[in-house]
Amino acid sequence: MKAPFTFSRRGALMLMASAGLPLLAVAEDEKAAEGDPRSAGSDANAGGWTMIVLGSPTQVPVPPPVPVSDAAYQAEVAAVKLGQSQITDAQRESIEYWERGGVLRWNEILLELVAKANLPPAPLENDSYPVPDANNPFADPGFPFANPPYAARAYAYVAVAQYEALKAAWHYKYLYNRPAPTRVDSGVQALRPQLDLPAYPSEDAVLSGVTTAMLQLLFPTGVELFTQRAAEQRQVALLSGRATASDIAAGLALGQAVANLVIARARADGMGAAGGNPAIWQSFADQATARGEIPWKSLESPPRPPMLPMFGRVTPWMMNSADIAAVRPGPPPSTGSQEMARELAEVKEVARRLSRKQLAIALHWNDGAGTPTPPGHWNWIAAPYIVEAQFSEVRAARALALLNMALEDAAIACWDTKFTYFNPRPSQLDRSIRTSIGLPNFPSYTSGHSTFSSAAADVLAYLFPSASSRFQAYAEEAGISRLYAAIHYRSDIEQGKLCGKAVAGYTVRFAQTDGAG
Amino acid sequence: MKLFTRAIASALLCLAAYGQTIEDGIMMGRRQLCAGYLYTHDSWDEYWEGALKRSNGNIGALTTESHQIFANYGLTDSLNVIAHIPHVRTDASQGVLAGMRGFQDITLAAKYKFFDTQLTENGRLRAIAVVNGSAPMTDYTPDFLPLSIGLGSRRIGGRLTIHFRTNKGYFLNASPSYSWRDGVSLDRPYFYTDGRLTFSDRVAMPDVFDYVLSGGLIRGELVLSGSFSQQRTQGGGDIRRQDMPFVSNRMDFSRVGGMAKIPIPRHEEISLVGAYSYVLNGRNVGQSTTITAGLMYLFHFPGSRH
Repeated sequence: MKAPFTFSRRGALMLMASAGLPLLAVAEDEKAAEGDPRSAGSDANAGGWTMIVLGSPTQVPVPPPVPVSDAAYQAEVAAVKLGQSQITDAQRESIEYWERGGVLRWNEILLELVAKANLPPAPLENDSYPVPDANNPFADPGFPFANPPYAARAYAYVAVAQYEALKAAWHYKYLYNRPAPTRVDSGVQALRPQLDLPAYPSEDAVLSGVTTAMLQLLFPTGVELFTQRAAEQRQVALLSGRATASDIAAGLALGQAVANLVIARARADGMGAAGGNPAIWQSFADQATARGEIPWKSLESPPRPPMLPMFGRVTPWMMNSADIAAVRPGPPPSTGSQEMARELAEVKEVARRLSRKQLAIALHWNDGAGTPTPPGHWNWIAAPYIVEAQFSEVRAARALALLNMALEDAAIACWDTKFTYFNPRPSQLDRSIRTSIGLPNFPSYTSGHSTFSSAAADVLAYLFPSASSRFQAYAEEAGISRLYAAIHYRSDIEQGKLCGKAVAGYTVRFAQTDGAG
Repeated sequence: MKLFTRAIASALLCLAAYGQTIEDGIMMGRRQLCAGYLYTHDSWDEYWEGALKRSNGNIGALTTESHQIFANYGLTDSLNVIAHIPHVRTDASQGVLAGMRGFQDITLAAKYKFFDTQLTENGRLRAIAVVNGSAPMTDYTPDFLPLSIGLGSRRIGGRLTIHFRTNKGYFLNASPSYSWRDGVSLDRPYFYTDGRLTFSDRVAMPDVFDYVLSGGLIRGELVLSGSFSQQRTQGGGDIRRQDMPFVSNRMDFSRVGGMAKIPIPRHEEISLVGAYSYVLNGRNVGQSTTITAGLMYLFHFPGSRH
């Protein structure tokens, strides 16, 4: 059995332990992976797994490579040997860095790009708020403001693009069956554990190409970071003895071409209209008033337009618009009702009696400005399980694609709910309620954290069944953290969890029949 | 001779009350104890987001109140030990963020006069070395700035004070210091600061350099002084545009202040203390105005020379 990731079990456990999760013991993790899908080996059939954006794995053609006996190929192998003979300490460090896995390393880089860009625009002198401009990303405010819906969508697009590109790569790898240079010439050293995987096109180069193209669209100000990392990843593929120049060139081209197909979907998914306009913002308030409800209003000073109010109309991955309507919870308690008064009183009482442990939970799951957001938190939770299971690159990409499609669908369903009901936050109904984290600038019902977290927990439970109860416990804690922070009523949390669970069902049903299960 | 106090905003936007005993050139005599209570009110409505000075409608005015008890005891004429215990409370006048309160960091210091000589016929020069440390007394969070009551970091530092005083009691005092700070633990698994997302709950804290220059008059139990001080944090990131402050930010400031310690006539063992200071310039800190008022009491134990 070949191990694409040598990150040890101990390493994974240490990563888990460092989370310092306030409620949940991590000690039982030693047995977490029992019975879970272990290394799926090379996943030689991955070219046949169900595509999501592409029509087929051959939609992007990859020409056949020259035979290994060809003089041009022999020259490439000689170049690998030359590079290895001159290898530097920095290059060895790069090899070690990427050993954790390309999909996982890019996911970490993406978390950083989200955290960096997750700052709301500052108000102007005239108390209005400027809108980030994709055509002027380095200005103030920078583009994007990677708030939770934006981030959920970004994680999904990067993961799906990687997954599509790697499935196509796997198709061509096993179509052409060109061996790795280490198998062609015994003079080539294996500086990474060698996979039983055809080398053409290089999966490392596919990842570098597809990911940089997606990041150029989603996080243009990160260009210096991700361009440098992509070049490093391709160099590692070569120096480690896994790929030659033509393996890498073919992979890079394939990755970039697949990205262009995925970007075409992104340009047409409705995100451009998600910010709405002043007339739309006012219409939400008018409709709530017409229903006899107190409409949500921004408690920021100066008042800030609601965060991406039309995000509920963005095209989902595993659902359609009728599905989004079908999972939408019924209305919250009326703002004038006894039930709402009881819920409000509970928030106030929790805030008044908040223990240090409850505060720790609120802070642990805060994931507000300047963080990778709740979807990023769930990527961070998933990573050690992917390491532990020793997934191939394509299977790791599948895991993150499933997780992040469910997370974006959860964001869409939750935003649809929020802007259907436009329900006020506790601090709006009772100005004496003070929050122990920043108050999100959008309606209360339902809780985004609860929706995200229960959707993510169900997808991860499908992927790693023996850790199911742990994921569910995380989701419970993430949900209740919002009551502790005094930013949500209990019904926001309960209904959000139910909605998230329903959203995850669509993803899990897809995964059960995608050919990879 | 004793203690006078000036508050140093060593933390961003939040105040660590700190005794100037640690920085001044005044020593307690053997078996003398000066103890007392100080109230400090620190407030700002503008702060520096990195280098950019701004206000914030979601904070309004940030007020930090501290109640502090302290004691300074002369083990010998040349060696004093000092302790401070502050209780701190924060509040924002606008927005929804909850204020916090609690016991902050206990400070302990040993102050050793290693040099004291009649420099000219008109005045004496002394040099004093201080070792001081502080540590949180409770597990308050440092991850809710500017409303956190402190930075939650253990700290140890050294200070050298040069003090020249004329026979008439006019003095000049210079006191540079360097402090090392232990990392702090957050309740979350990652944080973004200084251009990097770190996958850890543990935040390294940069060292801090500061100095205080002061001058004034000491006559009996009466002290009047003016001061200028600067803090220069030796690393750390800036607050980014529209971001919240972070515990390891590079927090720098320049501050001017004045204080008076006035003994009560016929009860010279009791003094009233008042102090005022104002931040002139800063980076990742609030432009604080700080007012301190307090009462101190001088005890003479058997064997003291008074």
